[in-house]
Amino acid sequence: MTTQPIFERVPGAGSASADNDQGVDPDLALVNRWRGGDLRAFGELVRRHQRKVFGLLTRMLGDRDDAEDAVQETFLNLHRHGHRFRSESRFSTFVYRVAVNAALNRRRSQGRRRAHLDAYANGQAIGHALPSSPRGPEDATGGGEVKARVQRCLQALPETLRAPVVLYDIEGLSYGEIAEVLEIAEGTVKSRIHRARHALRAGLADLAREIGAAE
Amino acid sequence: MMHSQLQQRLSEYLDGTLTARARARVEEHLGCCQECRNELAELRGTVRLLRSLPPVEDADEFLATRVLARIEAGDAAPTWRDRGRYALASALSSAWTPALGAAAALFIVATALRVQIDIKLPGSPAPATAAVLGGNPQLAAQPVSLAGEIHLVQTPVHSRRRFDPVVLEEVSGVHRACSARPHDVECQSFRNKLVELALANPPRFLREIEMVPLESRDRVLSEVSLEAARTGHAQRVIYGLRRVDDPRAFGIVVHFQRTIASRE
Repeated sequence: MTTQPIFERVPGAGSASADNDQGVDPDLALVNRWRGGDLRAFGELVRRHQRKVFGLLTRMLGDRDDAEDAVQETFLNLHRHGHRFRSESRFSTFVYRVAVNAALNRRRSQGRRRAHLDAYANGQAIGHALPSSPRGPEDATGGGEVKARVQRCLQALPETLRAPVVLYDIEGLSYGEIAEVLEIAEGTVKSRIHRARHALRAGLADLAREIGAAE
Repeated sequence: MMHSQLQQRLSEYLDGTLTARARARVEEHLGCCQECRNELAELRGTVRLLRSLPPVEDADEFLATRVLARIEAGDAAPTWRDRGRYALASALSSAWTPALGAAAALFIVATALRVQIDIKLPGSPAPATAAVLGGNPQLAAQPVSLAGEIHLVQTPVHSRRRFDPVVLEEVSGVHRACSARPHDVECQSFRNKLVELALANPPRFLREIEMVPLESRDRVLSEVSLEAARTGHAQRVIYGLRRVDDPRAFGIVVHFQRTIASRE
């Protein structure tokens, strides 16, 4: 049997667990200063995490403007509810949790309703016509088209499936970290990632077959 | 390992998170199953595509400054809702906990028995009503005294709507019959039951609608919405569906509104 697993990308390598191999949360000193009333420490925490949070929210919401608003909401909520952070998990995991909640709240309150009403009004099947992601200059090339298509398929996933697969395959969190972020069991995380990939595979079958077979 | 069980583990196999034994079993099966090999190849391609998405560019270089300015302006202050939660949390952790626990337990018991609880407070001339719920015909008509202070009294049945499980079974049965005959116009009972279901249990209604084959779903929805309009329940159905946090509900609400509008 020649089939080999994908081992080259270790889950968790892109996130919190890679920040410090010793198991000490690198944000802890700043978090303690912030809790002591030092607002500049919170500003530093925002700067440290804004890129990851913005990336996650863009993938979750599929719209750059929405993501920009949601990033601010995330950090305001973080400041508002910071006392709930117990230091039992990494601060970055807590930030992801707040960000995912901000994305879900935003979807619930406006974006999703609008998207589905629009889709229905256009006479299309529900869930099959979600807003496409914003396109960059590289869309002029075939690679840009492929990426836009992947992003659209990602947007068509239900949120319960999108969040785990984005956190795992794009943000690089481990199963355990995702379980903490989403507050679900690790087995549920695995199952949702599997279901998400299956759903994506259906929308990307031609490309996936070509790439998968070439390896 | 069964074929279907193996398919469930292909993602973990790709991620390299299976134990050595489980991985060996997966590989053994892959060696003799072309379908699973194809599926694995497609899953691998899908994961590659996902992981090839470029990192999102930074949005706002002044984000931290903006956030800090908003915090200083009071945008991150606890909302009234948060304050209510904090107050509740502190009350639950205080000396009131036993009293609140007892009250909650009493309410749960009352809910289960569907009776009225009258609590006679010391020195009060008449019992203070703690909860009024639907009546239970099996309870004795006379008040039952508990420790001389709390009385369980049978009350008249209130109009709280409950959906009979038997009706749900019927809905499923008729639904299957109607699904098998998408052009059958004799499904009046099915439509009635669906309207009833939509009123009583909107999430379950959505699931039932999902089970209707796609090609006849619009027709069924139109018939159900017309039936709801005819019986004067349309607005209540719409109201119930709007309260369900499910994207499918919005589409169905639009369908109902369109049908009702065209009827008018």
